[in-house]
Amino acid sequence: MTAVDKPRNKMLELKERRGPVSSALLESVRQNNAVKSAIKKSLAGGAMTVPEIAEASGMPTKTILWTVTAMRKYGSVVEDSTDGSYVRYALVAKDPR
Amino acid sequence: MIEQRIDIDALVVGAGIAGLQSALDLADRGYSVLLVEREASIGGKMIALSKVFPTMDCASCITTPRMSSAAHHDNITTWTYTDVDSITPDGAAFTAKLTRKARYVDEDLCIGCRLCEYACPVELPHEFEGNMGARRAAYIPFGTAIPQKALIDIDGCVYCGKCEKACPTDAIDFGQKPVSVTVHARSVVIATGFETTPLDAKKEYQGGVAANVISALDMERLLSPNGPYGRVLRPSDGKIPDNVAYVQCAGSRDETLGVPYCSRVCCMYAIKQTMLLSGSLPLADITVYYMDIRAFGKGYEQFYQTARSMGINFVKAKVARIEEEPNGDLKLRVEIIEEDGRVSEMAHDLVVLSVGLKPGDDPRRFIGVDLDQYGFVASPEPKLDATLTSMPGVAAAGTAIGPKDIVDSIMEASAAATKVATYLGPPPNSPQPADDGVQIDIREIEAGDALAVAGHSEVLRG
Repeated sequence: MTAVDKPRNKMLELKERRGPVSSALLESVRQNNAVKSAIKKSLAGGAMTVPEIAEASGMPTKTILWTVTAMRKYGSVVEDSTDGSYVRYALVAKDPR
Repeated sequence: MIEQRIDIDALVVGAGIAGLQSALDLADRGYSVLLVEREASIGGKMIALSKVFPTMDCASCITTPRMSSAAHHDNITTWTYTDVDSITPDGAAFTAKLTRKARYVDEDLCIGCRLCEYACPVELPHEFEGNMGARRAAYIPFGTAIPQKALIDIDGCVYCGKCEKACPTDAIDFGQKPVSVTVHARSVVIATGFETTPLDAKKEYQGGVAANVISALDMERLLSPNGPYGRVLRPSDGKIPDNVAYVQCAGSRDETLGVPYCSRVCCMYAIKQTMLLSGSLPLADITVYYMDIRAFGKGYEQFYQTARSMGINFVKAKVARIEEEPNGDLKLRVEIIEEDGRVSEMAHDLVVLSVGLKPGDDPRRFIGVDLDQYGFVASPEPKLDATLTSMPGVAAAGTAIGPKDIVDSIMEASAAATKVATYLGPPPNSPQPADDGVQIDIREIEAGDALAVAGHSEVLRG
């Protein structure tokens, strides 16, 4: 394998060809990480519904639901129980990823 | 860009249920088929559905065996993530220019373990889930995708290199480039499918603005066991809805949208969804606002009557306007047609727009077939041979021709395959008639006649 063929070099070459990562994308990654942290902080005290997490974190319910959905898909949050019209979500004991 | 060239009997454009069926029928007869799909998985729209009407069969259970058969058929080459740039007549055949887009993952090395996906730090709205769920920039399209191979959405990539480090087979390849392929095909089947009319087409319904106004395809994902939330929740706040409304003809039979035709499937998919919803949400009130219920197929009227008997509230009415309340609930201004035409305001916590069907692609972008005034592929003999196109050697099937349900799409796909097979003549290496074979004119045989030929004896029963 030559130096050019190394995966890291190929990635950097592609990055150079396509230009820098957009600031909008970097900002959305930062925001998503912030929402995840807020959700984890809220759920550290026990299972909560989406409106409860939103109230505790001061973030919109729609954003919380989308992020909780992502966290559930990738294994860091699970459904705990239902509370009237809402589902309670809980952190998994050990985040596998 | 790298260039390749291949020869094939039939090029099938689109790997939804119609394209899959045409490809399988042709391949089973011995023709070599190239099945191309612009998305990263075959399966089309059907693989995203929860169940199918009126049998209530699991859509995935019907689609995945066909997807798998096509992907593993000796006579079918399946290319996903491939654009058709042009198909031009070339003597009695066709020259097609295709572009195989870069997945940035070596398909031969990828084992579908998803470790790249778990390592990726970028989460983006997942189109397959109507953007209600998330995927990562490195991802496998969905659980039953074929091929089960990852790809990298390079527009969402931050070049962190975590996918490369996580991959156990060194399949990540940022050096991949699009590959231009020239295909010499003896025939073509156009099966480019449909798209739904935009959710925000009718501004007065607040689609795309109010979070709890969703499309029927979104509801298919919510009803699917592997959907984004794993259950039916409304997108604004995760509430389990208890008062759901369907607005029929929210993208069809409307001159202002350029869609004056009936999309043929909206009444039935709405009825199916209300029945599924009444199972998922037994305490919910479900109302369907409709102009007419068009339940025209075998068993469809009974299906409709079953929904009524289950307590689904069908109201003959026209919805004029939808307004969003601060808590995400929705206020519908409705003209009740079946009573005295009075206008009422109805409250619901989730509204599903029964959006219509329009062409999934503009085939004129890559081939010179005639289209009808709405952009569907036009047959010169629409009554006698719907799969015919204006170009010899080119057939069309499924919703590329016009709105229709899955049953009709599959039948039409088989008809298109038969049409193409007739055009192609006997497949290469097809078995020759046995030397002792006796030629029989089937037209001379009456039903029930006893037939004894060359040592074989059978009875044709009427």
